[in-house]
Amino acid sequence: MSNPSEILLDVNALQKRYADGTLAVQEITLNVREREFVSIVGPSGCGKTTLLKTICALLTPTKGSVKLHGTLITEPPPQMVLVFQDYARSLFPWLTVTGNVMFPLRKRKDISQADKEQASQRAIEAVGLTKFAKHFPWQLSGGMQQRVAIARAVAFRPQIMLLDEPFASVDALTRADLEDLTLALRDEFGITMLLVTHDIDEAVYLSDRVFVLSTPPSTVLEEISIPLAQPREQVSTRSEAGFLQLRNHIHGLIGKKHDDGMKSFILDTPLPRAVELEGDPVS
Amino acid sequence: MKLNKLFNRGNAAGIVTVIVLLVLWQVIASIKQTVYVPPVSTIFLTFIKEWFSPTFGQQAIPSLYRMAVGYFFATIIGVTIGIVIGSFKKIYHLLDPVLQFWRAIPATAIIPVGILLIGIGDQMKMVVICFGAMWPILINTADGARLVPTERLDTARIFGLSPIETLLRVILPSAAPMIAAGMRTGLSIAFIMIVVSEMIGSTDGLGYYILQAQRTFAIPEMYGGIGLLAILGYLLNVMFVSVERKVLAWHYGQSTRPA
Repeated sequence: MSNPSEILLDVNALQKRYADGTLAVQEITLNVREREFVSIVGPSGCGKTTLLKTICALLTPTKGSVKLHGTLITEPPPQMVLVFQDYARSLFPWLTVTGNVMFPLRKRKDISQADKEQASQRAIEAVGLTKFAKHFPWQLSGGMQQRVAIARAVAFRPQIMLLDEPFASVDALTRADLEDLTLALRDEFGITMLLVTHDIDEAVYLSDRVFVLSTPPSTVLEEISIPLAQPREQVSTRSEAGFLQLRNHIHGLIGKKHDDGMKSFILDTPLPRAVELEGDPVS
Repeated sequence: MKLNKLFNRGNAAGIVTVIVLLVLWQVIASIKQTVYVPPVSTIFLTFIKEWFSPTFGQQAIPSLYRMAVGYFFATIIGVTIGIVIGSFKKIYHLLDPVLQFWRAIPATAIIPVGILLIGIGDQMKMVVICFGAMWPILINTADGARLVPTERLDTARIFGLSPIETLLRVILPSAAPMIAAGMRTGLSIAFIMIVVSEMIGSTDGLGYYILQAQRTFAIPEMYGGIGLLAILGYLLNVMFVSVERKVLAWHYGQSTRPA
């Protein structure tokens, strides 16, 4: 990015330790500028979901802080939205696509019903599901369901969208479509994006900057700028020499200590048990 | 709509079976004349005579009324407690042993307690029906509330929903299919409870009528009463299912989607 814009999200020395003592996130410091596309890449199990949930204030950090526009976040702020990896579990099956997309607007008393319907229509159009507005989520394919989740997030009119491995559960072709959709949404609605993924190619393709995480307990290994040509295009961008250089570099970072590091990681790291998650009232 | 369901293709074979069995009964009862198993024709005539007369209002209506009130409160209490238990893990752990003990008691065994504490009026029956029908509703509601996907609850928090809104807009709809299943079981139990409570401590109602008929050797009347119970139970179930299918259309559609 040629002109540096203001820092929107400031994560400082964030640490998250579960109630049972497991250290999921050791120390993460990163920031996201306005209208930037930032990715967080790391090996599986490095606490990426925990990190996003803590940034979003669904979980309380053990140490460190998260600031949005300089203000400390303690509750999920209205300027921030999180798109989950498992769209089937986050969409509401009793509502149609339109019902789901309009759901976040129900709290907004300042917007008229007509405006709400228009906003949701626009969001559904933006993700290309206008024909399926009256369908139920279970009538749609996986990729389409994730689009509904994204449309719902867009309809909320957030300033920043957090995405937790949103394309991991869809096939490769759909993934490419959804990647480009996310870029288009950033351009059309001016939403800042923070995406978490294990797919290094995806991170390099989409982002302006990439933060690489270590194995758990996770820290930031490196912050990498991605100066590839804009706008990104699936074939041409991925063919650039710079693309290969960057992805190989990141591969090297994550793949380091592959042999014994990976082994001990698999054997020693307990998976966080859902029951012990703080702030999780049900399970 | 109910008639439609009765006469569609799938049920035609079933109805033929019923008719064949009735004919068999008629034939056997006519050959082996015994007071205790009268022929279907006699029962049928008695049925028409009894239940298309004021007897229906005197015996059947009170039963249905008591059942309705008991079932209504069973639903309210069962769903309320179920939601609380299912939503707060600590409360679940606290109350689970107590609940397991109480639900193990067959509701019919509570009737003597009801008679002692409340008497043999309408109220006793309603309380006993409520106690019996409540358990499947409560437990299914608790499970339904507990199994709401975390992602949905997180989504509600992200969109700034208050706890009440989350309860009404996310937890209840999510749990609705399980609640409905519990309510269907509760309905069957309510039906049993009204009959038993009226046999033990009552001066009117279908349970009382059937038992009295047996004691006074009004045998066709006895069978007629049982027949009426069967018809009422069937109709109640059909009504319940049709309402459920409408309200939970989204849920039933899900199970027919292609893999």
